[in-house]
Amino acid sequence: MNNSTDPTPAPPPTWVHRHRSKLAFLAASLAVASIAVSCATSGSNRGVVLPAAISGAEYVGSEACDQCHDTLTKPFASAPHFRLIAQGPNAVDVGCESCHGPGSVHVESGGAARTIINPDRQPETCFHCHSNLRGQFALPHAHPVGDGRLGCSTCHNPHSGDAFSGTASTLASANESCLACHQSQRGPHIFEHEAMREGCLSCHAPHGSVNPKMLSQRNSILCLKCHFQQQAGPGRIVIGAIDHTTFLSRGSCWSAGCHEAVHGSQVSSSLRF
Amino acid sequence: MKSLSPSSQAPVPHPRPLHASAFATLLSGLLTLGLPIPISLPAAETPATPAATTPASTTPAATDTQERGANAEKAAEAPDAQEAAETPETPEPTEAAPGDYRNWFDVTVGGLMVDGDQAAAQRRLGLPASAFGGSQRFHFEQDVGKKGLFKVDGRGIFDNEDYGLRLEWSDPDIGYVRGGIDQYREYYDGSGGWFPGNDTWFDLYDDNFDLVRGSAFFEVGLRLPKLPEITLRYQSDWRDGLKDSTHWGDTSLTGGAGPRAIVPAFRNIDESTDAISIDIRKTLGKVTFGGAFAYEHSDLDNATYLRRSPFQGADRHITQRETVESDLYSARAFADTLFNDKVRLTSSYAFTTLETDLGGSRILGADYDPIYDPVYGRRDIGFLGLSGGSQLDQHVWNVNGMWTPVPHLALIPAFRVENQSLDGMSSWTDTGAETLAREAANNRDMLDLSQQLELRYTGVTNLVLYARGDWVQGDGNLFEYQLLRNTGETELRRDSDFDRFAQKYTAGAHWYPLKRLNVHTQYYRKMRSTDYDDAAPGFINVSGSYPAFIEAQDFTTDDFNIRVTWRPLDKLTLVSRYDLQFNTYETRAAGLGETQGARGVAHIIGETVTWTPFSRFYLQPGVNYVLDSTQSDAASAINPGSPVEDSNNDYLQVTCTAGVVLDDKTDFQAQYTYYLSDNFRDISTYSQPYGSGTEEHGILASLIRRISPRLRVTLRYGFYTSRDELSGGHNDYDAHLVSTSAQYLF
Repeated sequence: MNNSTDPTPAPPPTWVHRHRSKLAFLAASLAVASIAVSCATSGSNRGVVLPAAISGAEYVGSEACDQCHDTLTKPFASAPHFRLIAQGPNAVDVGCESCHGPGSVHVESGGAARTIINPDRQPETCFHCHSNLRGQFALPHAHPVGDGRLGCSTCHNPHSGDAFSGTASTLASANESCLACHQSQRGPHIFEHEAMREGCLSCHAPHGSVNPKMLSQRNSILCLKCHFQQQAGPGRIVIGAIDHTTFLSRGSCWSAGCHEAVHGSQVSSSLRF
Repeated sequence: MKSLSPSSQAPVPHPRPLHASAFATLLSGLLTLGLPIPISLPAAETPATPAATTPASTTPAATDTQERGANAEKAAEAPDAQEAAETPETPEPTEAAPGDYRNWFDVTVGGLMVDGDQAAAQRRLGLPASAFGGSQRFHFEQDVGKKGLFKVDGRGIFDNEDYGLRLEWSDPDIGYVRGGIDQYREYYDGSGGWFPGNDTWFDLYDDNFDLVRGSAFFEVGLRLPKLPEITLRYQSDWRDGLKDSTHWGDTSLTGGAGPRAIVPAFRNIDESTDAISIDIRKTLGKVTFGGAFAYEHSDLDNATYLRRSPFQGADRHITQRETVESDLYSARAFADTLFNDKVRLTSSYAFTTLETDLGGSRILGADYDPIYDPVYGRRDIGFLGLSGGSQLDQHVWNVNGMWTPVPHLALIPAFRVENQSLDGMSSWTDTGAETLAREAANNRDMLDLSQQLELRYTGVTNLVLYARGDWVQGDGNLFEYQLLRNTGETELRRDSDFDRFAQKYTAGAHWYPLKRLNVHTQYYRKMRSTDYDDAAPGFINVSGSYPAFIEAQDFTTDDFNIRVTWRPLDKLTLVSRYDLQFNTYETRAAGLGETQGARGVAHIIGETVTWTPFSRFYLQPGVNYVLDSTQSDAASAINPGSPVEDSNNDYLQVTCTAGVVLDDKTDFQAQYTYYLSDNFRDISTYSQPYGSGTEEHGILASLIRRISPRLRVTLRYGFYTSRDELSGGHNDYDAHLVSTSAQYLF
């Protein structure tokens, strides 16, 4: 029972309020570090180099890339990234070097190693625009993009066509990007889960999630999005004419031992195992 | 040097930076290309970021990239350049310029020390909790003849199953031969769930799981003048090891709260695939045409290990094993015609057939991998002797075009037809309360027609407008039946027609109002509708109304996003992004009205700042803040007493990277990362809580010393800490990473 004389309960503290001391410490540290750096390095002539600018390189234009990489540049007009290319003085130099960095050193060296940015190895190049994905790939459950195991182009083709590897524009081709590595989910299954035809993204967040297995939702809401059908009384949930209330209290639909075969089953029409 | 083929752009084996994805950015930058930390700033979006290298350094001044094309001279007049120009003497070179050396070799030694849950730390950081070392990457290349080039790339980190070797010889007038092997280890935490009601947690086995993923390939490409391009390739892929599962077992040791599924489970993965393909293409005039054939054989032998009611009277182990052998044949042909600069047309046809053979069982016993015992007392659902298989045939034909009818306007239409035909059957013996032989079969035919039309308009200065529509119409039939062999009784019969219609409409703009400012915005609406019409209303199913209970479903997504890149000062760049998304899921079941299963709202806010206050120091903080909620009428918020909660995926993720030039030979770089998801709510009295509740900090500091232009040494220390509320603290850890590496260029 609340004995406070104030009839209005205090609002819950905001995140900033709860962490104000940490934020203040962080800001003070940065300020001190900046001053220290300014003083400590005043004797050096060398400067930091900010990738994706290859040290010493200048922009040469996409035409120069076409001389050697025409198999990539020819179909680029069909790529979504081609939309970035505008006419006008404020949008000059938008093209290959937008992602690969200035190319003069690369051109002059005849394509030598270490003279051009490869976004597949340095996804920060992609994250600069797709900054939301930087956050998603940093989540506890994410594909290992950025540590050399996978690159953005493992699933996406930045140079042509639709954004998915393959030649088509349907969700089936999107699934192929996943099934190339996750073969045991390919099936075919005698009893299919229709969600697989809708696409892997029905249930998974492929760039990263706060949930294990990169699930969009960890609890039964993941399934109830499509399968919630009836409220037969207060708190009672009926699915497929079966009262699932007590089952759901044990855990999520697939964790609680009832519907383990979420990708499809060879023996159970209800995808039990 | 001409590019040999698209596949010739395939990445060489990468160095394996010693970190998890959360810390990938920093170390990737340290270890690739010999560059400092990669705070990549694609010029398309931030054409204004200067590279602050001075002319006095061994690397000439990088131009101000905003005005790089026309204003190279201005760049030379930049303050840093002027300062350098006044320097009386050019210092000794301390760093190799890109392209100075063609080859390099990295050696690394280090270790990860973990205080707390080792499995959680290994999974998150992607490293073994032990010493490690070896070569992160080596590269050697040598000219062969007039135009030929021989290259070797590789790496090898001991105690981490992390190896790679790739060899390639190429000559633009002849072709190439390349081959290699690549393997790495992934770590998993095999722990189960935590029941907060009475702090129940099961440690049933060593949960430090790992799985090795690898591939080997050999490829020959002939690129002889005037002859067709021919590419032959063989590739073998494998996965082998243990990983966690979320198919948890149940327990009643919950202090009277009822059964909860929190008992950990794991999977044994043993998969291999071998594939061979031949690809032929030829260009005649304006037409490039070709064909390909591929054969692939896969062998999957996987198992899931569960345990139910441990430390109780009904304690039993469950082993479910599934084997699948499959053969896939694929053939395709294509033609790509560039009529002129304004019209391009591509078309292709592909046929694929997949055949599978099944096997498997689900057996209960006193331990994992038991031999079936028909008198085992703790009966449970299971099966023996699964056999059968499927055949899937797929035909795909597509036509894509690109037409520029007038300057500044491009139309990109695409049309695709896909037909799938699936036949499958299986038989097995159920070993539940009774031993019953069953068989099942399915047949599915479907036809999808996909269309796409995109329009781009660039007729307004500094502006691109685009719109796109995607449509998929599909229909098909699904037939399923299940038979009880002992009696011949049909237990299940489903004969459903289904129709699908998917639509997506996108509109967006890329606007460059200033050289220092660009704005990108997009909106899309995506709708998918599926109708199921059961052709046999009197379908049979002994267990209830499944399948064929759902009659219709509609999913809708609305998404608006905007990104602004702004450089208010020469050395300050801001990238802001906001994404708002709404989702709705509606379902109609047999005999019931339409129900909204769930609705979701997500706000995704991101900000990245790149600041170079001094030529020798930069700072790049970034933050992503996400509010993501999926609500359902099934949840207790609306349905009091429901054992289901709304799902929240809110999180805050912060990264701050800094780099400092300490002197002519020494750099210091640091990165701090922070992650918070605060969605945990103890609902143990009526259900099992799943909301993530994790707070992580990570600090990585690196000192880089250039001993000579060829040799660079790096010392690195990292500290990572994680507190996980969802596991009741059982997966908490503090970890220290210490490593040193040397890179030698030659």
